[in-house]
Amino acid sequence: MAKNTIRNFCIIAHIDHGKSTLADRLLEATGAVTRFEMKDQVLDSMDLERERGITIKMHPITMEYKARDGVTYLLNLIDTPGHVDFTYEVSRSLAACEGALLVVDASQGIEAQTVSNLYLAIDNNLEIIPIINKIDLPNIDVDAIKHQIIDLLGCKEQEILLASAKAGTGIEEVLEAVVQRIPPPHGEVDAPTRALIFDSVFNSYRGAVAHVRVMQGRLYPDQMIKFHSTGRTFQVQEVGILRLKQIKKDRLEAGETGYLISGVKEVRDTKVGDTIIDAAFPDTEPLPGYRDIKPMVFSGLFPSVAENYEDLRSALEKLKLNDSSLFYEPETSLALGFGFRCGFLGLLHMEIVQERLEREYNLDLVSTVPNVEYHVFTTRGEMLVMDNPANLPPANDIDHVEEPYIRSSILTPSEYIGAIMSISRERRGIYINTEYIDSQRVNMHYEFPLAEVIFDFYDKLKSVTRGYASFDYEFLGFREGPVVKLDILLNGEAVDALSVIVHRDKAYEWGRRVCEKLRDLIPRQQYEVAIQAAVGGKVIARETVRPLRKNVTAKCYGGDITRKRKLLEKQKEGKKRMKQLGHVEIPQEAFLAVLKAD
Amino acid sequence: MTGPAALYLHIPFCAHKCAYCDFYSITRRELLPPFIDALLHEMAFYSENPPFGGFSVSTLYLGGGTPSLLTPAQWKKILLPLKDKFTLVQDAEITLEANPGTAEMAHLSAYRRLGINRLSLGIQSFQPADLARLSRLHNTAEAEQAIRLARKAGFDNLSLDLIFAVPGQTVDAWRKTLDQALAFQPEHLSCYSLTIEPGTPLHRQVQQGQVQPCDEELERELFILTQETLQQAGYEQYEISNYSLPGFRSRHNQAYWSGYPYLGLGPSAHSFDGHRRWWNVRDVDQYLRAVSTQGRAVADTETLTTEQKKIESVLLGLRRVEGLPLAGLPFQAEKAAAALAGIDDCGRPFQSSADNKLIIQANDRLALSREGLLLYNYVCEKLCSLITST
Repeated sequence: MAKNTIRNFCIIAHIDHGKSTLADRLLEATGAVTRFEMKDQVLDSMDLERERGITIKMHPITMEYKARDGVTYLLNLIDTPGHVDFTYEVSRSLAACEGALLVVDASQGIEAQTVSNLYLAIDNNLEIIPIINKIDLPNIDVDAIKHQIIDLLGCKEQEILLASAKAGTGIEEVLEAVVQRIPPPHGEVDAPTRALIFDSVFNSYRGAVAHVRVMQGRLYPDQMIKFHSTGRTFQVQEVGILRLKQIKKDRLEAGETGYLISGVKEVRDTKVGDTIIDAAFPDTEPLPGYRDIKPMVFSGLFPSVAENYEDLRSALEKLKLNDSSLFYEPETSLALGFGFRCGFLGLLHMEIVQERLEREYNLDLVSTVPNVEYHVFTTRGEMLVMDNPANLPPANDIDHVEEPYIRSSILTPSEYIGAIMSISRERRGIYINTEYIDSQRVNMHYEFPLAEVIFDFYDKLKSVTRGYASFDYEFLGFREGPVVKLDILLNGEAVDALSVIVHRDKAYEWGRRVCEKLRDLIPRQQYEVAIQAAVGGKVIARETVRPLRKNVTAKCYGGDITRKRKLLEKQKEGKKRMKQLGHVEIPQEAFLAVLKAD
Repeated sequence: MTGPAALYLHIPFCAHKCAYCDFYSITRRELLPPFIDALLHEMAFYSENPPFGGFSVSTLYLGGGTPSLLTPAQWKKILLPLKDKFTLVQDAEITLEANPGTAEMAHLSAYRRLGINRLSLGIQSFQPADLARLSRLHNTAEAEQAIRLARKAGFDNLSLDLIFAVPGQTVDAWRKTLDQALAFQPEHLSCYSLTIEPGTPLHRQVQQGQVQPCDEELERELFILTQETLQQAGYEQYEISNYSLPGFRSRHNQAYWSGYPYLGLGPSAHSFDGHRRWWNVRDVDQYLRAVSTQGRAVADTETLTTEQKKIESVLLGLRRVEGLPLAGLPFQAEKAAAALAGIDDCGRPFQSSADNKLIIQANDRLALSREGLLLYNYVCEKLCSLITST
């Protein structure tokens, strides 16, 4: 394959700006997908993605395009996950490309996520092709969007393409630009093999299938290869390119993208960002940029019915096969029984995992309040890594605690600067600076304790800016913080699953809010239930669930019996989802409801 | 099906719709004649078909609506074929619900002569303020007059319906109503705590904040006052809301709470044959059409699962003050006691069932205590969750 007829590119877009629809149109226009195979968002693999209309990650795909110059090109479209949780994976996908389509919604303009991914793309020396999508929408100001793009990229106005993926306009121009403007890949075919893993998926028959970009050298069946980060050696079984299905090839050469199967069972051995080298040349330098992915957000996941524990374990095992960033270990809670402590890249990742467990594995789950990881320094000089508030040592044994910080950028129309400053202050944000992108839009930089943004910061931000602001962050490091463990007690008994670690100044507010929520959620019983929030044994908030005094249906004759029975059946069903804590029943919604914003 | 069962006729007509009532009734009295024809038609259908064909009736209840809106001639037209099509046992209880309106009262003697031997009067209250809040058509004097006329007409098994926890009602006002009722020495009293049912005008008034519903603590006090007052007067409480002099329990109501079969005729009436329950359409026009074409007017049917039967046995059995027989309980009595255990001063649950204040085990039966009766719904919920499907 002549390298100069290959183009490797990706699409950078904010969620909902039309990435999947544009990809659909490109596939149609190049005949990669027949009309018969076509469905909306054809490259989105999960129902969840198709349903929410968002793309977490698309399949890479190879298209053949006969350009106006008469030459047939191989276009490899590689996806970038469109969410802040997956920034690292985005950077690896970008590293596999020479160019990127920057898709901007004509009605929305550029968002923070897009900007940060764009900067990543520029860092990777990618050729950027800006496209304004959805130009068929009414009441849009294309010129304003053009100016945003020009300000951001320093490009010329005529370099910006206009398209409506939905209506199918401007698609050929996009394909021509890919061919004309994105450089072909370079890299020596005869040099020792270096291939970048930009994704890996699990196939129940073939094991881990790595999606790779060969940077130099070649990959071919029977070759002995080594995964640089793990040092493990495997024999290549099969390589090929990715259409809608895998198309087997006798080799993949420098510049090409495709898949590789090598008898690796689990995706944790085919790590995104890792370099595959030829085992015969063990000293080959790896490609730069590899990082071991670490979970940032932790939460306990418990089956709502204890008997489903084994089902949950097996579902997590299966998910893990396909998601190397998912982390879990068994956890036991007095309140919730046997479950798992799970680590996620971020909140969206957490939501996706939970939703997939519930949907694809038909599990009913209770999850605890998500938290970050803390470094706890004891008075004896040890450093403990804590991802579960319930395990925190007694306050007396703690010298100090460090919490993770992030650096964030908030892209917003300038009129919302004040509102954002106010909510950021509430979240212990440290203001760094504000950059003006153009006369109307700014990029505000803040440092935050990660714990402050994992709950509902994004929702709050959206609401104070009427949906206009967008948010992106990266991990900064650990810093000392005045955090305390807050316990919730029901009639004097602490509920481990409701313990949280909070900033000292916020403990009262948190405790008061949780007590109030629980007061509304815990059904009244024959006796009073005292709900208390305590820090280090000191009660800081209290609410009471009053006992039932009269609770009796006055009439029950012929027609009332069915009605009453149905009510009892419903309550009986609901009881299965109640957690018995000592003698107080808590509906499992309580464990998550404490999170919900007021 | 063998053995006697209960028969219920629903007369869905009222002179006026009361603000709290959610029974099915309409005021278009011009539909009465075709309704009576349809009722006879439906009666014929069930008397000729299983499972109720040929069964004998130990209690007949003429409810509504306001069944006393029907003239004695109209009742005669219904009751004569009824006695022909179903076998009424020798001493069958035949109850008619009546409102204390003047027009109806003129017919009492004639009703009695038709064989109706029990009268249930919708008195509700003797207090003008309560009657106004409930939007009843009668006044205190008419209520008292109705009772006197019922006695005069020869009704020696008289039941009075009373309602407490009416918005604005005081303990004193309820005590007065109870005393006034007792002065007439009725054989039976149904004392209902007012339920504000969704869809009623009263419910809307509460939602809009025009009416303040009775406070839970006051409701509790009124319930206890009722129990104490009536017991002192020689009445036994045999169900959550029902009291009688010895020997005068309502046979009809007990049939419901004992899980006996019952056949209900008329719009919205429910029937139960021991396994299946079905209910009629809740609309007179639909009822007339359905009966004329199909002989009956069933809206829907359910067949009870074993688990559902168990739940019903608990929900119905616990309403009766004598409770459920321990033999055949669908859960272990010890588990029931544990599920309902109280807590000590430190907030910890009592271990021994002796400290259980809600249920009592005695004479091979499990029954609600006085406190338990007050928390009937709560106890049902707890106990039903102990029932397993097998």
